[in-house]
Amino acid sequence: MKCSELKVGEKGIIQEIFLDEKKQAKLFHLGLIKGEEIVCKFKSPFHSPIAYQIKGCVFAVRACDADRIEVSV
Amino acid sequence: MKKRSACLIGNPNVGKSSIFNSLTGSLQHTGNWTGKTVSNEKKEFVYQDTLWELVDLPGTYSLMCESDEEKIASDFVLENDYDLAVVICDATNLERSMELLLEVLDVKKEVVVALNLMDEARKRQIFIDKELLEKKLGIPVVLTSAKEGVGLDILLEKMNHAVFTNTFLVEHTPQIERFCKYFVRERKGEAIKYLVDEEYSMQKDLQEEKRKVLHFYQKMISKAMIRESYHENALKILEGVIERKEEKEKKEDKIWNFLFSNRFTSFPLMLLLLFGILWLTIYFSNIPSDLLFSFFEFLEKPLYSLLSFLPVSVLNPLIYGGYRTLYWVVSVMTPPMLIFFPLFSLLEDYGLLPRIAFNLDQPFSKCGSCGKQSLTMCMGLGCNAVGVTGTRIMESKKMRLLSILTNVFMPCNGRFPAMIAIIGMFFVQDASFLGSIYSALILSLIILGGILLTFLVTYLLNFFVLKNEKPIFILELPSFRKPKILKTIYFSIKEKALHVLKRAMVVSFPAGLLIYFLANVQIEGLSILTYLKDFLNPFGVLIGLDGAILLAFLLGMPANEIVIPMLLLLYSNGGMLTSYESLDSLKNIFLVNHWTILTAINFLILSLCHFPCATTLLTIKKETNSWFYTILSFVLPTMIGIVLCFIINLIF
Repeated sequence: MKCSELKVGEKGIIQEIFLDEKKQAKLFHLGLIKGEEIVCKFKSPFHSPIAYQIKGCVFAVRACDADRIEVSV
Repeated sequence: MKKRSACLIGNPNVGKSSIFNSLTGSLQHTGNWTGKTVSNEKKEFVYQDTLWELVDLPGTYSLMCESDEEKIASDFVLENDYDLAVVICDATNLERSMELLLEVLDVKKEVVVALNLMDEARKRQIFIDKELLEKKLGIPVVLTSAKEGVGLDILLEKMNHAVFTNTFLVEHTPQIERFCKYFVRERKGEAIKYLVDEEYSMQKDLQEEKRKVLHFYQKMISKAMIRESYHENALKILEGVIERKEEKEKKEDKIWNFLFSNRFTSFPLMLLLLFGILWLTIYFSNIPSDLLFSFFEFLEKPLYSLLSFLPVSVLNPLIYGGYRTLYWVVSVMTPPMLIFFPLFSLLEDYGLLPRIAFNLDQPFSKCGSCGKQSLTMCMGLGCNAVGVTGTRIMESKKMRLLSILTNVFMPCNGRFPAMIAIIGMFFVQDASFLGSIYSALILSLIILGGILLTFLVTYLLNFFVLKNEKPIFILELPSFRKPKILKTIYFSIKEKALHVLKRAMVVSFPAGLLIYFLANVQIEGLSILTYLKDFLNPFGVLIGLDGAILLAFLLGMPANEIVIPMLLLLYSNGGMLTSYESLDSLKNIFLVNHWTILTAINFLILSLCHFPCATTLLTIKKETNSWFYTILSFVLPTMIGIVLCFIINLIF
């Protein structure tokens, strides 16, 4: 399923990332790597951006970008 | 004495600036959000027999990164000559710091690692086997906590005495290794830079054959492959090094996260923050301002008689021109600055600002920008020039330009104390507790108006500026850290408030002198000032103001702080006619010159929307490197201010 579909508090394992190189590089350094566990922490009042946690790091991406990250629950 | 040089490099927000400050004893402000250091800071210090030259580089995750500020770091590491690199790693998230460390090791053998934020790691039950890590890397690893001042002496010791004979060699995939071997034998990191950064390789002189080989490999090896190669190495090194107990979320984080992301509480909370910080500023600066004012006013006469040996033609300008402007600036500007800057720094250090950026991203994205613009706006509230420099955190050129051009709509510290004074004179008229709440409410509304204008102008500019850029927004949300309160207050006052104040004071005295001369040099019976005022007057009246106000704004260009004292001097024709007595009595000067509530409203609007001060304009020129955008940033807010005033004057 899409990463953006995770509910707040739900966990998933990252399967595939379909983002352009610039975003992928940025996110890689925040820990977005295939096989890692990702937790949806909270969403903005407008539903985008969404805050995720991987290992110790919390970061926000827009919902349209989270759509392009595949996770399995 | 030996002379050596070192650079500090690390991920954003791991406390590089803190370590830099502690080592050099300097006072660069540190904040709890990503992207605080935006250019190189260089300082010297002595430890034992060595004179160190230390450079603090902007935070970066990788030497392969492409944003301007990250390029500063990677260029320095690759191109400059230095004896030692100190890599600051985040002990709470070592995995993430490893890649940069390995990249640096690919360029340089002489590396010392500082594992910072140790106190925080311990609190979160993360244990790191330092000895094992040291053994595997073959370089010194020092546990530090810059905030507590722990481990820095050991770091210095290692910097002075460590030997680097068996530094860890990064092992890439065979393909990458082959390329490096062919390309730059010694420094794999440099070879990789050629591979991933086209701009970099284009600048270099390369033989035809080498360039061909480079192109060949560029097609075969993607950045993602290199990243994964580093990642593999990192995993190998970290095996058995980190032990983590299941983490419990800090209660504090949980509450804030809930409050900030909840649709019912998030925006009220943010508004409350804005209001609160303004109210505290207004409430607590009221009395000190009055006291300072009376004090300087009281000094005026003794000072005058003390200097009475001077001829009147020198003495009058000095006292009525220079001194009065100076003491207006000091007494009206100092207290708000001394309150606002520390308060703001505390919020910043605590980590609230990224949450604001998070919540505002959606509205900003509709305008073609992103939430980070709100961070630059917050900085602008302190000083627009700082806000403009701060736009370097924006990830695309377009978003950066949008934030630069709209930053002036945030009234900086040189403007809002003047606004407070006008609000106090014309709208609130009582210095009680309730009065300060009204004042803060009105000022909040003005700032909200500025925010609204920012959105509007960003939205409109979006259609004209660099149309084809893809939006990007990725924001780190650091967990809340309790700031060191006294230290933060001390730093913010010394580094920010006094810095800005000094700039204003340096301008105010000569400006006061100038006005005095203009007011008293007469041509055909009228002073030059009168000519200027009369010249601007028809236009001023058209937009509900007058010539003197417009002239004051123009004269206030070197520093916005002096607009109101200039205006007072203009009205009193060089200060000969009236004495100032107290802040409240100044209202009479305005009333005598036909000010109404409407004039005050228009004045406030023009204060919010007019050209940036000279320092900000210079900064814009430097940052955009374009006269066009510098002029645009001058014309755009001025036009908007004039049109708004004109409309209001027309309606009422």
